[in-house]
Formats: sequence, C-alpha cells, structure tokens
Amino acid sequence: MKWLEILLGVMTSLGGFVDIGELVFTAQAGATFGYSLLWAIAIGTVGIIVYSEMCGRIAAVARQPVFVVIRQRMGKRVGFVVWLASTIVNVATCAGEVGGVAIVLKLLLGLGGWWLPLAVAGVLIFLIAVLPFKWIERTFGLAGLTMIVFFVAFAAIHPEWHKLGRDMLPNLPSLSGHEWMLYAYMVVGILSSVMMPYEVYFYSSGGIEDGWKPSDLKVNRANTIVGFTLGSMLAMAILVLGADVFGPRAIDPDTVGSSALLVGVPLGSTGVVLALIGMLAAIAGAAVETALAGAYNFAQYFGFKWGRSRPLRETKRFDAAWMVIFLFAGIVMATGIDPILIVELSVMLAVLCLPFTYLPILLSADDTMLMGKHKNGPITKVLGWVFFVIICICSLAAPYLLVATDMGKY
Amino acid sequence: MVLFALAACSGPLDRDQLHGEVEDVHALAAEARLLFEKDVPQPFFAVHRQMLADKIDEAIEKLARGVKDDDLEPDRQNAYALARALEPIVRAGDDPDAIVPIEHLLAGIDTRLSP
Repeated sequence: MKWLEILLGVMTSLGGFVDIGELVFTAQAGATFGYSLLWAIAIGTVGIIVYSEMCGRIAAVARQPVFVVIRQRMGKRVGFVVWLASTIVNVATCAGEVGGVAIVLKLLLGLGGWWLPLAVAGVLIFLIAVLPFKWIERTFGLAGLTMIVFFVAFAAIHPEWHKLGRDMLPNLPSLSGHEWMLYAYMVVGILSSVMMPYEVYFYSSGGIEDGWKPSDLKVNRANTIVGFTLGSMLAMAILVLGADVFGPRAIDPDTVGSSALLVGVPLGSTGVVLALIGMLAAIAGAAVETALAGAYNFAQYFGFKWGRSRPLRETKRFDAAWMVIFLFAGIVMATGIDPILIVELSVMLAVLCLPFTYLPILLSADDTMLMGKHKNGPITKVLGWVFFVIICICSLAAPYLLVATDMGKY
Repeated sequence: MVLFALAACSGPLDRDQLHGEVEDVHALAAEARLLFEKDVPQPFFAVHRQMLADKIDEAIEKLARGVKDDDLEPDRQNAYALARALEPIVRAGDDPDAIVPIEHLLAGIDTRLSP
C-alpha cells in the first residue's frame, strides 16, 4: 500500500475535525473548560473510525455508497426526509466553509470585499472541474497537512501532560448550575461535529471513486485509523492551545482570526502565517467535501450517474449539483452572514440526521447476505451499537441544549 | 429549534444574558490587548482588529436593548459605556495601554453578575 492512498481519509477527517466551525468551537471549548472536554474528542474519534470503516467496507465489498444504503434500509419516504435534511446541512456547511476561506484570505492578504466569497466559489468550481478525483484528495489532503503547525505550537507551550492524559478519559469537572448546560452543549457539539454525516457520505463515495475492491479493505482500515487519528490529534492540540493560551487571559475566541492568534502567541508572526495557510487548506477541503457530499447524495438518492472520476458529459446532473451548491454558498456569504454562526447551526441540525445516517450503515455492515465474510465482527458490532445509542442521546438533547444555552452563549 | 434560539436572542436582557454580554466584551478587550502586544503580520493585525471591533459593536447593540430587571440597570449602563469607550480604541489599534483600565472595570461587573 502506498502512503498516498490514505489521503482520502486525511482529507475527510480534516474536513470534519478542523473545518471553520470546529477551529473556533474547539478553541472555545478549551478556553472555557480547560482540558476537560478532551474525552469528547477522543470518544467521537473512535465513533467516526468505527462508522467510516464500516461504510468504506460496504463501498469496497458491495459497491454501495451511504445514500443508496439509506434508501434501501429506510425506504423511499424516510430516505427522502433524510436526504432533504442532509442537503440543508451540506449546503449550509459548504456556505460556512466558503465564507471561512474568504475570511482567512482576507486575514492573510489584507484584501477583499463582499465579492471574495463569490471568487472563492469560482476558484473551487474550477479546481473540482479540472482535477480528477485522485488529485482532488491529494491536493486538499496534502495541503491540509500544513495544519501541523498547530502541533508545533502545542509542543511549544509545554502542555500539562498528566492533566492531558487524565482528561482523555470521560470525566466530570466541578461546575455549578448553568455551567453544566454549557458543558453538555459543548459535549454534544463536539461529538456531533466530529461525527458529521457529510464525512461518511464523502468517504464512502470517495472509496467507490477510487475503485476500492474487497482486496482494498486494508487501505480502508488504514485510511480511517490514520486519517481520523490525525484529525483528532489536531483538534486536541487546538483545544489544549485554547485552554493554555486563551483560558488564563479570559479570552473567549469566536472568530477565525482567534484560532490563528493561538499559534501566534508561542510562534510569533511566522506561526500566524503558517496557521492561516493551514486553515485555508483545511477549510477549502471542507468546502469541497460538503459540496461533493451534497451532489453525491442527490445523485445517489435519485439514481443519476455520479462520480468525479467520470467525464463531465456523463454525469451532468451530478456536476450541476455541486456547482450549484458552490454558487449558492458564494452568493449567501456575499451577503455578509457570519459563517461560524451558520456552521454551528448546521452542526446542531446535523445531530438530528445522525441516527438516520448511521443506523442503515450499521445494519448493512452487519448483513451476511450483503457483506458475506466481511460482515461486522463482534467488537465492531458492539462498538457500532454503543455509538448508535450515544448518537441518539445527542439527538434528543441537542434541541433543548441549543435553546437553554442560547446557542452556547450562556 | 433555530427560531426558538433566535427568539431568545432578542428583547431586553435577563441577568444571564447581561452577564454573557459583559463577559463577551471583557473577552474581546483581553483578545484585543493580546493582539496589540504580539508580533503578528500587518494584514492580519488590521483585519482581525476590525473583526474584534465589529464584535464589540454587536455587543453594544445588545446592551442597548435594556434589561428585564431594574436592579441590573446600573450594571448595564456601566457595561454599555465601557463597550462604547473600548470600540474606537480597538478599531484604531494604536494604544494597547488604554484597554487595561477598561478591562479591569469590565472584570468588576463580570464578577458582580456571576451566577
């Protein structure tokens, strides 16, 4: 197996773990509650590894992407509702990411106006139209690796390792009254953003684009373990930086620039520039991931031909879908709406889609008729059901917590 | 769900909301001071400073909505005046020392309103 083959997993995980919403939300979680939410990232990482391994395995063995699985297991009507909700989440998230790329460019170059999100959408449309799928995952996967500067900053601040080890395990910090609500809101927010459904839509379709076969199951496993662990470690580094850099100064970061400033404190001016370049790549990757996920779902639900590995003339409806999503994202962001607000709302809406996305994956991966000898083993089966219960609890709690904390504000 | 949340964001502030707004302005002042003190690239300094000033403007608008409880009015008025004083300092970006006394006064209100 060549190392370039794991770039699908790297790109997918960066889009989930360090997109614009997560960059800000994770730093905020660290600044507010110290290291004590690290366990939520750790648990979410195991969850997304378990489920993306399953959907990659289904893609390799049965050649079925997630939305075909959802339609088969849930029926056409429920499938339609899931498609509609996931489309709203994908489009809203894509809009937030396009807006995020525009903000990072502005911070990096000091230029830009209302037109910048439209220009970003245009450039992304051009890149996706000209690059074959392999090169899309390589370009955004490799470019996203510049986020490693956050690890360097993490090492430079000398984190408290014993506290870090302790808080990787589920723990309840000593909080009072309403702080518990905010803590619970952040737990649900972190778990659901780590397990955002567009990651599995994109990953399973990407596996099929890459032509995975049962002989590629090791590639699938390596992608999920290496890719998502990398994304998870980056998110943890940001949380620790938030705790150690912003926490003692009583700063509550809620802008994209704040995340770059996290790196600037230990590494200075060069650190800020490298952090902005890394963020640009990761957020642009997330924009591509969400736009393509939206187009995959559309084509797979309605039964149209799809795939960026096919010529544009063969997949007109599919290609029109991701182009329209990008254009819509650019237009919405040109109005000046706060992209972080949009992504945070879409994360909470995504929580409601999670059970309907993950249950069909779990049932299909456990189906002997479909998967033969590659069906779930006992450990995957148990982990799958445990995480399904966690997802359902998050789905039930999310609406209440959103209102009770005024969207995580109080 | 979203409409519920948005509805909760309008109208006069209760104690928790006022505390949240004061905490926000306090945090923005602290971040602005950190930004002014650190060696960062010029375009980043200029753009991020404006973003922080815009966020202070948003807080000023919310603080202008009034409070549900009359007992909170003096704290609201103080916080409003401090936020108004802070905004032009952050937007201009040339006097980090001017932020320090505002930060201290905001911290006092913050502590008093703490649940």
